[in-house]
Amino acid sequence: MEPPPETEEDYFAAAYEEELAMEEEARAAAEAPAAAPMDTAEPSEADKPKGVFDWRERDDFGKRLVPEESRAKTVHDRRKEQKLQAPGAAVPDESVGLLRLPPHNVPSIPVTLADGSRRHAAIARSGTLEMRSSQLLSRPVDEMLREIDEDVVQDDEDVEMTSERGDGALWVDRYAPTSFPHLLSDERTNRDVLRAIKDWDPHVFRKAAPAPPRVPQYRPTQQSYSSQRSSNFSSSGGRRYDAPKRLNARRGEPPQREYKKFSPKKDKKPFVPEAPKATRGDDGRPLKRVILLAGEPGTGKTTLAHVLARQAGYSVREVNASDERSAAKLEDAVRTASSNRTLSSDRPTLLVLDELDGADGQQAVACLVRMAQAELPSKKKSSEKRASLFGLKEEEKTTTKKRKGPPPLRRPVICVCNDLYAPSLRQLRDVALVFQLRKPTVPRRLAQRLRSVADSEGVASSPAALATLADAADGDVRAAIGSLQFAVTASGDRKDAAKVTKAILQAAQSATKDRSADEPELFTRLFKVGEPKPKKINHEDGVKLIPPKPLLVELAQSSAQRIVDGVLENYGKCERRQPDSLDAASKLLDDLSVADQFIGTAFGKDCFSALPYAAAAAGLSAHSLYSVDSPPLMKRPTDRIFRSERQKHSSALCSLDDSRARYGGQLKLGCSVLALDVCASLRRLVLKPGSVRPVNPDLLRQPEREALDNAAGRLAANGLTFERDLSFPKPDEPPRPFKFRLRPDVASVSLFADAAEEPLSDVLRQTLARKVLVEKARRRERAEADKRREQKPIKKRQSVAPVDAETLLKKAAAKVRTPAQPQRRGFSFSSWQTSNKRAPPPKATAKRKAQEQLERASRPAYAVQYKFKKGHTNAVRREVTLEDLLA
Amino acid sequence: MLWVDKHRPTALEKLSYHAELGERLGSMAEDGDIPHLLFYGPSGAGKKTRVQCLLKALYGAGAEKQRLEHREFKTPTNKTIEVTTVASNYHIEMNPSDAGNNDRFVVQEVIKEIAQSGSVLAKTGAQKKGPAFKVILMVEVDRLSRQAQAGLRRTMEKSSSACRLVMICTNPSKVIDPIRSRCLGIRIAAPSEEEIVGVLHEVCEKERLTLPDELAARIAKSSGRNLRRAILALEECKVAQYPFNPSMPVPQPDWEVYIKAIAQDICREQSPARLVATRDKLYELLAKCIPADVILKELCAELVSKLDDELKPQVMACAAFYEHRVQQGSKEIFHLEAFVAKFMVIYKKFMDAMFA
Repeated sequence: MEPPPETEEDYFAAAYEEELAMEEEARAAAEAPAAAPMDTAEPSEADKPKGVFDWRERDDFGKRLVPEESRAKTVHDRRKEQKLQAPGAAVPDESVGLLRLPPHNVPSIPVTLADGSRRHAAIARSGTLEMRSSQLLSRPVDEMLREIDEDVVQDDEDVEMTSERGDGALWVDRYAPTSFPHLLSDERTNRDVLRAIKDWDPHVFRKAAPAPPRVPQYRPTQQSYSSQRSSNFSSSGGRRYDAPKRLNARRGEPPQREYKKFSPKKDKKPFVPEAPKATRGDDGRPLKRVILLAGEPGTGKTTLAHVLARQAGYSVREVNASDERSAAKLEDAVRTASSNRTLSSDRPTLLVLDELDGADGQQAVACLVRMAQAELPSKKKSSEKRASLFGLKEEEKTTTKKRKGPPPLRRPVICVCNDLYAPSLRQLRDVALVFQLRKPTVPRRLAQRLRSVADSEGVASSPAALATLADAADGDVRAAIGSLQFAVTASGDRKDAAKVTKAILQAAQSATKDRSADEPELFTRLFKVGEPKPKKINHEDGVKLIPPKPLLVELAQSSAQRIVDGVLENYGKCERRQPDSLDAASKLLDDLSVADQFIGTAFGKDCFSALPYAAAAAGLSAHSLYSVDSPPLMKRPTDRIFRSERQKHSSALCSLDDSRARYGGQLKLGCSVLALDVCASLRRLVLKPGSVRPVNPDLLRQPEREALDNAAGRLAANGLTFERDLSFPKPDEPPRPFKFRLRPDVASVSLFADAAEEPLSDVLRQTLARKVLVEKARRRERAEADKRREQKPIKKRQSVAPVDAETLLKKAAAKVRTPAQPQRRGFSFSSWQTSNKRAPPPKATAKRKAQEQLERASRPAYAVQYKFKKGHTNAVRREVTLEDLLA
Repeated sequence: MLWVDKHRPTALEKLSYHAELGERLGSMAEDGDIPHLLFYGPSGAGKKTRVQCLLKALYGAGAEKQRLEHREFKTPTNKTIEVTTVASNYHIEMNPSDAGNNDRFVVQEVIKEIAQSGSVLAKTGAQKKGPAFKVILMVEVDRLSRQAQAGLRRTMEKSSSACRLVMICTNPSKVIDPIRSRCLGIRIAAPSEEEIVGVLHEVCEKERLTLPDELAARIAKSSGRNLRRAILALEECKVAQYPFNPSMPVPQPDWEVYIKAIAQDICREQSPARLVATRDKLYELLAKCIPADVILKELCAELVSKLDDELKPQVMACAAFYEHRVQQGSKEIFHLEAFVAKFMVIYKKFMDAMFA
């Protein structure tokens, strides 16, 4: 997409659409003076990426830059920035240049010079400066500058970072960035997110979206470099990927296959130069309608969302974990956001869903995914036409239609979460445009921010102390500013530099997050000879060295299971070439075994204090036996594949066990017995290979038919059948139009090392599948018939058969009220009473029979006609006594 | 239907071996009262067959009418657990290990439910003849978590008027002592090879086949005194070729073949690289639900058969040691790999000494 931010720091956010054109102008402007002989040392611009400003390092702290062409560009910058900073800025004369630290009272943009050092250019508002490429520098620069300076508006209420939020506000809130240049998060990500929001412009504002970014030449190497770097140093924090694109790019493999592989996805994604592809649908909305920002706390996700939304011309409506986020509420929010403009501003509303991975996020996510996929209702033009033809009725119809489904998104939605891989976000990840914010903040920039905060609070502090604090915060801006406020308050006197410095240093010490090391980092340490180097920290009186945490402490703070797993995973790669390598392996594995024993004890006996010992046993053993000078790249421990495989197989076995019991009436055997003894035999017993020709079943000979019938009977008795395999074929597999597999999947459980299944043609499999179906139906029928035969004698023995209409009729006639005895159903144990009940001796003696005959003769004619129709019905059957009918 | 299922005896008198035990169970059933029972013995010895026979002797043919029930339980944490039970009017069979970590809850819930309905029956006096209790059949008790077992013991005593527990396991040492002391332990030993040969002949007689003695003996031997496996192998032989050929190959389970291949690899090369390669194979075995102790036992047997006598005790001791660790630990792969590494070290040292 773009080069890493070190080489391209000149974002001009608001003026994005014009950037391309402007840049061309800028280049023309810059090259014009370069052609003149006034500066022969001008490096050629051609081999630099566009947009890199060739600042010369002739600036002093806070001094103005001298070279002519540079100044021309500054002016040019300012011109562009005036769109960024609408109200304009007060620019003291001497700050029009490059500063080492960002001026706290003036907005600034960071710029990286050709030698890699960073400067900040103050943003000034210029007046009506006409600038066209042909007329550029037609007037002397000094004149133009003077013009600008005169036009400067002395109005810094919006520029001043301090918003009027009262004295009591936390500094964290008071100095929260309010505009794009103040953001501390990684600039490339900022820009990408802004672009994503701006992608909505055609739909929301009815204007053209920004042009797609250019693709510089050297991109691939840079990309692979930055993706391999460990996260905490990576300054190129943002990453953007498209799930569907990845899917398409890999020959249509199902996404599961992606997960199965060990290596993290980002390494695998081949670099695809951003070809011009359709990111927008026909309706002007981008295809990815939800933006998902993920990152650790304090990396500025929420701030980014708010600032960018405002930057792109939206007003923000935030829904966070404190609000109810049921599906209905969310739909409501989306509806109002897409229809209304708020009273306070004329801007369209952008929805920010904060803290989405929280406990109640799941519902919201599901709802959001549905809304993101919903299409806009059918084209307005046609509906309008029809509306004009048929009057209001059609209008009503469309509105009711709209109400039924989830409302489609008409405005961008930004979701914010900490953990991108939270299970509740799984669906959303595929639909959303994902940006991951790493701890991006270079400590130096954070230190600068602290400094400007301190300055505007009137705190006397030393830059070194602030730098220490920034280091200690480890990328968490919120924590750093919080600690600063705490320190200043604790010092008592904010003017006393010594006191404040001391307090800040103390705060830095306590602010050091008690975090366990990053896992790959820890493993690198385990497998590296010696102790890691002490950390350098700038201190008042020189550099202070902070020794690393003792290995044991670090181990004890990490998860024991991950360490044991990780050591097992990684030790093979750190092998030293030596004769006793096998001994070392054996020793290490023995220690791992001990460690696992501890873990087993910890979880089996609820004795969790054993866990640190497990970590120590594994970690120290690995460190002493397998540390090398330069450890290779560490893999994260992954036994996920193993687990998922095991899960798959054991569920197949369980379902085999169940279906054996259900369809064949076999005893349940348990999974391990099935795996050990039965599965392989079942697979081989299906059909003797070669015994039946793979032809149309009508053409089979008698013995072949018998063999097939036997096979079908055997399959049905074990609850097995063949089913169409709808999974994607493996790349090296010959294409088979109809692929049938045994279900439950006995074959894959019992076959090892990719051994081939017994050959059985798909035609035969299909035939068998049909036969099994028939066989099952036959069995079911037989079972039902058996049941009926069983139930009959019981009914005879019972004194009252509730559905026996004839007896009831008799009873009714005899006006004998017999209490309807409800037959117990339901749980097996409650029903055994009735069925087991010894039937009372039949009372129908001869005497009684005679009486009945008598009754029948003298039966009064009732109005109720009663006819029993035999047949099958799906209706719910209920026992009805004749009394019910008569009442 | 598989022969194993088809020819499974359903009455205590028809059991082909352990006749004495069958008699004892029969007299117990005749008496109409049984204590809590714990059947234990190796796989394929006929534990469950005997339990089913006992149930039939107790309750008559009604105990054979079994149905499958999916039951849901709700834990206090509002998690739903689904367990499949097999039940007749007189008993309920469950595999508590299906419930995973929440087995304690499921076990207690089932027992309580039965204890309650049982007491109702006792009051109404509906049960005139036959035992006045129901049977809870629990299989794979050795996989029951410790908490569940602990939860079982008091419930067992309190509800003994309404129900009896019949438990089945392969490894009684994994059942906690308090439970073992509350049960009558019944050991079902694996049938001897002669007994297996006898059963195979019986089966063939029923199927009207002629089975050469030699083949029967070979099947019995390769089955490792597991009757289920022997009958399955017999059926496979029949499908592969009939009339039988005395020297025809006896089918082996694929996992056994795979373990043999692993053993061969280990003996051929001892190096860390081989160790890592072996790990993947072990993972595959474990993923296909082959229990770790079976892997270890089989691997050890296979390795020992290839070894010099001098090394055998060492390797056996080693295997025993790591099997113990497997039982105590949480993940099997560490111990299996540790065993393989240890074996490599021992074997390599021996070979080096021999050729040096």
